[in-house]
Amino acid sequence: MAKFRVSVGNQEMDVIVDPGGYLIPGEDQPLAIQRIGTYVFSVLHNGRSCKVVAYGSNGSYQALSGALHFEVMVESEREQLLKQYAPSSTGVAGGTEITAPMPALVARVLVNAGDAVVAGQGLIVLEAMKMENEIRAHQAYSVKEIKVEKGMTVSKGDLLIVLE
Amino acid sequence: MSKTQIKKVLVANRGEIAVRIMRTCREMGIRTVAVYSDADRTMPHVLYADEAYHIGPSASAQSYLVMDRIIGTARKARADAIHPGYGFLSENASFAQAVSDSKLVFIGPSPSSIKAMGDKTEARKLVEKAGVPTVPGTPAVETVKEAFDFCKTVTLPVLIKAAAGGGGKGMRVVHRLDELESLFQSAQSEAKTAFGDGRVFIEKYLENPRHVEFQIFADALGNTIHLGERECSVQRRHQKVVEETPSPIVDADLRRRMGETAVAAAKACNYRNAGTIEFLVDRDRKFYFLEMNTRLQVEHPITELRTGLDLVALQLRVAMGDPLPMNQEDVEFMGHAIECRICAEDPHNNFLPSTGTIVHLKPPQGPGVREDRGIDVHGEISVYYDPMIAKLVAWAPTRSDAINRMTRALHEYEILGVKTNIPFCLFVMGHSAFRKGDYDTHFIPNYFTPEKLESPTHEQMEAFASVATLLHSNTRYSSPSVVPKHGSATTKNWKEQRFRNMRGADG
Repeated sequence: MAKFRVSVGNQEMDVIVDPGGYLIPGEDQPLAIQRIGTYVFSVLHNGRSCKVVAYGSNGSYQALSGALHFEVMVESEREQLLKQYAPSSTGVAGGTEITAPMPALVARVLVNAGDAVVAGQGLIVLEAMKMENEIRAHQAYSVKEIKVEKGMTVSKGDLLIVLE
Repeated sequence: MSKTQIKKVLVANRGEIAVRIMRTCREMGIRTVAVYSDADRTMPHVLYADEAYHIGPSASAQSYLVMDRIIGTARKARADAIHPGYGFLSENASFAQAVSDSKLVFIGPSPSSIKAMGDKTEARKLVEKAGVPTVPGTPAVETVKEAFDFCKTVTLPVLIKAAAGGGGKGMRVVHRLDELESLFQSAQSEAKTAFGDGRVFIEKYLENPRHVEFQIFADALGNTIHLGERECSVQRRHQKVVEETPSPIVDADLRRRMGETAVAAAKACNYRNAGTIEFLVDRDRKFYFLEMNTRLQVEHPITELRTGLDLVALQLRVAMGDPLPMNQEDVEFMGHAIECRICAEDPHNNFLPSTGTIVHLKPPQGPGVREDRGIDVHGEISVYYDPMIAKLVAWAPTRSDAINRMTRALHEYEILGVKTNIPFCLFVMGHSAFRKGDYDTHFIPNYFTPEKLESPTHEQMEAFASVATLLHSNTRYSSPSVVPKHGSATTKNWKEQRFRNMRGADG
């Protein structure tokens, strides 16, 4: 039997894989799963039927059922253990980094390096799907560095501007 | 106007509206021509059409907005007519003019009507002469200073709008004077990107209005009728999300008065073909002309379901010179229809656009459900175009039945690969203010927070967890029903097996 630690939204639970199905502590019956297609699954549990559509890899999965869409993270016991010994990522010291909240085109950069900005002042305008979104400073800062320029395509999470 | 034969139509658009137009063409025995950008080579509108031609790179400014290339393609394909759909070149008077200069039929109004209604400030003057009530505002302004001057004459908030605009593009609400400059510039720039025209105007912002629009139709002989209203008050950032007809606040008397006003506004610009008159309606059910959309509207299907008419077929017939097949008294309204715009946006995360490839898609089926969609499995939602995936429409004899039917259909809808606003649409259908019909354009800011989205049941959580575990163990180990026991390790998972032996995990 293999045991997995699973988080769905903000809930965590163990799932034990055994030949009879998927057992969740606290339940007396395992969940029976039939794979119907590449991404489509039928789950039966105590007579309750639930269709789930899911895909993903490397421990991160997207699952959908009855219009509810959730991200599910799965780790085997071994992966959990390995993680304990892996070096934790270090945070960037000082400053505030403005990252792209969505994939977009840089429509305009409104500030220059060295500028002092006030709370509420626009920093950069991103265009996605023909809508412009202005990112504003939430407090007073000075602009340390600008990492992008007008016309560039950025991905979600890309560093745009460094403030301090 | 003499009768014109239309045997082949080029659809100068993409996505669901291109497919929707082609469907009617096929029913009428008219051949169809699609155009496509680099990104759209395998999209449904290309697959559906009888012919398809490449018109340029993915950015719409270099493809779907290039008039010469579209008209050149129509001539090369020997099309008789061009249907512009909505958005892109649909409300561009120069395009309509260039189409008719090339001896092609433009399926829509005349260039002069588009021009008259396209400039929102001129349009207001025009309809005022016809006795149509309007909201106080400025002509087109070019500098921030002019904007400041108007703002000093009225109480804030005011609304900045694109003079050439529609669909919420280039629109900004100004609550404080110190926001004016940056909002003004961003509105101008967005208007320039979206419409190629950066002029904006400013009008007083009505608090808590409802957005009610009337579908009108006119033939080349001047017969003009309305096909009832659409309530479009559920809006996010001035973009409609849910529309319904009839409007919960429009009774027979108000419908007659607003309908007559809508017809008068259309006649003021000698309108022909399909058009929409948008009104704001205040708490006292007083209505004001907002603008006219001189094209087929995104939400036209709810009017089709309530009247039983095919608006694209009517557009084609009117463009061929046929008279409207009915008078105002012949228009029958039946039941209730609701549309939800299914968009690739994450309602849990401030509706940020969600790009990606659709890996799984299964639309709802069953009684009273219509789904218009222009993307399929393996299709990509990119940053180049609108995030709308589909329009889901439900019809039922009564409003509450239609809401229940829409709720059922939304629950059936399976899309995986991008996040969608389906959970948000379910929130709207379930909200008591919506159910009572007592809502306005502030519905979303007034009532919505992501915490109010439906959360999964305990059973669903467990099912999600188990299926994800199955996927995880399938990729990492072998099939879940044959998890290796001690001594039966395969070469593939020897490491895992050794690890387990070491810990003695498997009793």
